[in-house]
Amino acid sequence: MGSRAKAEAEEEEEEEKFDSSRDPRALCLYGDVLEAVASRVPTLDLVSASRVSREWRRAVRAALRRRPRRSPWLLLRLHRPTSTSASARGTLLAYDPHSRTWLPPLPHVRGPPPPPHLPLPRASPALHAASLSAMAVARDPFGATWRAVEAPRVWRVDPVVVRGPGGSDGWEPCDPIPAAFDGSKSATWLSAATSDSRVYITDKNRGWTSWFDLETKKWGPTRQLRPDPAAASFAIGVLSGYNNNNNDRHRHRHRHRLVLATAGRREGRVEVRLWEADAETLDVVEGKCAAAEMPKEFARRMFQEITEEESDEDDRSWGSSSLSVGLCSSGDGGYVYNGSDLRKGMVRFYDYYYYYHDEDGRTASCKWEWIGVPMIMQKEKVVDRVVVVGCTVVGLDDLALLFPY
Amino acid sequence: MATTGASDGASAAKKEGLVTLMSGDGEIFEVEAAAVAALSVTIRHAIEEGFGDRPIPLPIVGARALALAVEYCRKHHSLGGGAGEDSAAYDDELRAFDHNLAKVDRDTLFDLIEAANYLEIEGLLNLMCRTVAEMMKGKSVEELRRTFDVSNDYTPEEEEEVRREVSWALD
Repeated sequence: MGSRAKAEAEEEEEEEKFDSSRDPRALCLYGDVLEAVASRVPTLDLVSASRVSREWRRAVRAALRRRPRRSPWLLLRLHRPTSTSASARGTLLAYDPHSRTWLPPLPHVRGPPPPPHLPLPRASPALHAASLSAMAVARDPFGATWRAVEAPRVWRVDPVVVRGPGGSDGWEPCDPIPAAFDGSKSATWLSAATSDSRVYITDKNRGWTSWFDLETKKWGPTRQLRPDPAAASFAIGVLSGYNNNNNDRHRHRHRHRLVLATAGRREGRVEVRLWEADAETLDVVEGKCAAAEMPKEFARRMFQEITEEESDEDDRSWGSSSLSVGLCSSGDGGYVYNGSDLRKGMVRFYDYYYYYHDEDGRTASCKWEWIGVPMIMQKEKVVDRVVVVGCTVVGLDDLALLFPY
Repeated sequence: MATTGASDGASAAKKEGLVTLMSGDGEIFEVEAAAVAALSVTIRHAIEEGFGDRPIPLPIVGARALALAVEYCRKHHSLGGGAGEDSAAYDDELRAFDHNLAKVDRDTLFDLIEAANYLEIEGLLNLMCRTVAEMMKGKSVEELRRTFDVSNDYTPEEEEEVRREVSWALD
């Protein structure tokens, strides 16, 4: 190749137009081309790429500016609560939606420090672990570093307590969960989502929903969200209130949107739908096409076994109780999964929006992507593990923490 | 590589449906307009702007890269109708063709990325960039410098600073 490079260099002198911008040092990646490469490199590899040289750093920066990677990653922490050795206690699985790849399993990412004796609660956005005497909060999305905080030293019949403002330690009790949630107050029966200032909770089986404001320390309205009469399982999620591609909506960036996932059976098939609810009043936008429906093939794969069981037993009410939809969202999208068995596969959704159709009125639309689950999960027996599902935007600095090259 | 099956004499150069491309190093390629226009945004625009009846100059694309890019367009146009990898038309033959194309040596690879970028052939650009991304996978900063022949132009102090300051990632 060297001879060709020389030939080109000679030609360059004669014909100014050809390759005049080329770096004379060598045939190497630079400028637009390097930027084109960087914009297609998995996020994980961008960490070291950005440190190679000034030019590479510029290219990584430009590529990220042109195509910001603001979609939330899916984080699964496999946790063996009974294991005593730190290495066997947990493994972190992370899915990068921009590169459409699962990171290699990260067993070296330390779990919460011992001695939490209770299983990890499902929580977002920050991972946390708690027992009756100690509590730790993760400092980063992956849970690679932890900060111990004082555990709530109050005994409450229902589990809602609030951390002090500004990350200061200390707790204060707040009003109890509304009575509509009686009988389903334990975290097992609640789906929860947080925005900057609010915690939303939804009863997974009945659709009762309410919110708690962290600033005013008051509960909002309590409503039963049941836009689809066939729905038997519910989950709540929060999306940011603006569309990345739409600059003039930036002024609404502090507002957030509420999405409700429902799963129900219709004609022997499971249907999964995403509805939008008003973050203030909890009104669900209803209408023939007001919800975005997951492609039937995805729903079939995700709930396959349950549907088969049901048709064997032909017992609708019993079957319904085993149908559980999981939802985890943040930023411009999120992930939907089978809450009873994560190994069935997970589906990513993004670009959730609506438009007005002449005949159907308000019509919701979003993109769906089957992402499956990594091999390591498929081999797991569910009973052996507690899986914590998380979903958050990940930056290069977070990745740099995991891979200090 | 630059001729077409329909040719029946060099004198009838301005045959129906052909377009002439000129590489940066002056080589002339006569190719089916439909195939290249379907895959290359740059050439489609050039034809739309009336460049179709004289050679279209492609100053930064070398002859060898252009030949490969044209071959890519032909293959993908005739077999897949120019559809992307997600479509059903992306069959085994096309997959094998892409797989072979990605095996070119490193310098050709870089040339092809430059050509695909200039000609705006999205599929080819993706294919080649993925190949480079594969070469970057799991490598440390030092290994990347070695693999891609890049010299470190940071002072030790700057390098330390770069290591610490990566929070611009979400801009």
